[in-house]
Amino acid sequence: MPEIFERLRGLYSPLTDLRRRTFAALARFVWEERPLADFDRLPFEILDLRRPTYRCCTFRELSILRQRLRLAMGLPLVEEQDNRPASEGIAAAFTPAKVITAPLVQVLRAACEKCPADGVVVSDRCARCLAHPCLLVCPRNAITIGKARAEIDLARCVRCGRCVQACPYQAITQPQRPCALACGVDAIGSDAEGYATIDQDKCVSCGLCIVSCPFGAIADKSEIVQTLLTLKQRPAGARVVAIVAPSFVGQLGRLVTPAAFFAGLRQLGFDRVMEVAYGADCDTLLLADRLARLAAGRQFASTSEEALEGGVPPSFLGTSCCPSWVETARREFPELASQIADSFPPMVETAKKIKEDDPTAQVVFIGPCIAKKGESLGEPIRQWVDHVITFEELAALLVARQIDPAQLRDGAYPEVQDGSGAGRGYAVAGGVAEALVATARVRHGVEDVPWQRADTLRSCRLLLREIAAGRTSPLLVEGMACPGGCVGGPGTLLGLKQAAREVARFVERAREPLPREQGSGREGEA
Amino acid sequence: MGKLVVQVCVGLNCSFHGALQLLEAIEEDTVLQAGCDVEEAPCLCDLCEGGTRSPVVRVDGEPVCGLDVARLCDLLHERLGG
Repeated sequence: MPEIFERLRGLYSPLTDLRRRTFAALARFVWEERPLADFDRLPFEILDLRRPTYRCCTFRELSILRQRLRLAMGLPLVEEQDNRPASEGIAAAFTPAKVITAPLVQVLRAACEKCPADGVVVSDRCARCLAHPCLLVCPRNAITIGKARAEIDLARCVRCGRCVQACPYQAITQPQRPCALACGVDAIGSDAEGYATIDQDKCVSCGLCIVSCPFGAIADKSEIVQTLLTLKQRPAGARVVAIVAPSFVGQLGRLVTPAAFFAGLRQLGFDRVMEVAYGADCDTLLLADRLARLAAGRQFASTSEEALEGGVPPSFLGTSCCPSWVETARREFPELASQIADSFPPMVETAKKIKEDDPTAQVVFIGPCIAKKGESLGEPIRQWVDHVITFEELAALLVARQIDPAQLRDGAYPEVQDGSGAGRGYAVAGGVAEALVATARVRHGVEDVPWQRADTLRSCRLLLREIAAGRTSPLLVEGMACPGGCVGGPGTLLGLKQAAREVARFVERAREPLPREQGSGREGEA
Repeated sequence: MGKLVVQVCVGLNCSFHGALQLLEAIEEDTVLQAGCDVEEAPCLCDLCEGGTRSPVVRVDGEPVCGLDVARLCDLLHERLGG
């Protein structure tokens, strides 16, 4: 059975439509510098409320849309139970400074359908069969065969799911909430009234619940308003630089070549555009070095007797580019946390490089990722990365300005060449590990590095559990929160398979397959 | 029999409003793959009316607007069958 997010991802659902209309309308509102008093008109420009489109009634529809708009502006959620207008304090959003604060991913209670969180249900497919394996496998004797179908005494039932597996008619199901099913860190619960809640101590803002909720009841904060104002209100001479995650290729359609994508960003007002594959290369060099030392250490340990007998899991190197994976590993496996690289992720390496060259530059990261928004909130990273938006949010900005990069594809734009093939490959699951292994081999002569990878947080946790228990001992562990890697991120527009193909093609076009020392050409360094 | 020429507009407005998902759906349908020549076309028209009628697809030159995946696939299957 496909994972929950695979079922909704890649579909252009009415919810995708609503989200994108909201972003585009808001971006237009900001760009046209309309008065704040017009904010109340926005919902009516997004939807024709003469008939309810998405919900039971227009009242609910309108209320949810106002809350979505607030989050899209980067402001804290204001809900019905707060008993104040959603337009309160919106002026605070209209600044080029950073306004978003944790928590980033939130449940809109008005939109939540209170899906049953728990229980085991017998449907009318039950044939009251003579074998009744459900009854036989139940460890608590909770099942009886009723007049019409098998009946489950939920007070005795322990939700083990054995009857679900045993039924020859697939008549028994264990309904789960799509949001909870998508969440790899079990952060979703429910409150006394049955609304979904997010345990913010567990949530690592991967955003997969957002794409999985069929009612659009979970949303994240966006920085589109502040990004637009950064572009619009920059002081004379100040430069705004866009740095673009490796998964960008093809996100605006296959006709938009990397060069046209970059040209589109420049038309939007960015003075410079740079591949984050550059920062990925910095990371690859650094981590390949560590990997080589680790490999040497382990070889030594395996020749020196009984070094492993103490039951201490041998040390490994965990990748550091996916913030949700790093957060999960640190929170749940503190004993292994020190093995996760503490190096800055590619986004930060790239932003640092830009700010080193020009301290007054403003840096906007554009990627597939919601967790990066959270990463950019903390010290010291917030001094380097000013704003983070997703590809979907970027497309809304382009739509609002009616800048179509597909029309720019034949222009004579310089080829994009900021990263190596290995750095570009970071976008797809397995790419980071492959970059490190290849670089360690070429630069340090390390052969046959045992490595393992996991995508989705659930599999990441499983892998870490295996390592903690000593059942597997890879030298290198790549963790990614999104299915298929960054190309499967919640902020993408392109389907997973197409995106992976586009990235592979772009990898081939890199001048260098592997990163080279960045500083080697520089001279006169202090 | 000639193939059905299906041009999916992947201009900005149409890409943003579901054109990429249409392409993915056609790609996954083996019957449509065999019977259609699928092209990605840059925005050549104003048929989408600024995105409100996106996505735009031309089937053998004839434009259809605002179809979702199911309705487009239905239409293509119908055309191939007839």
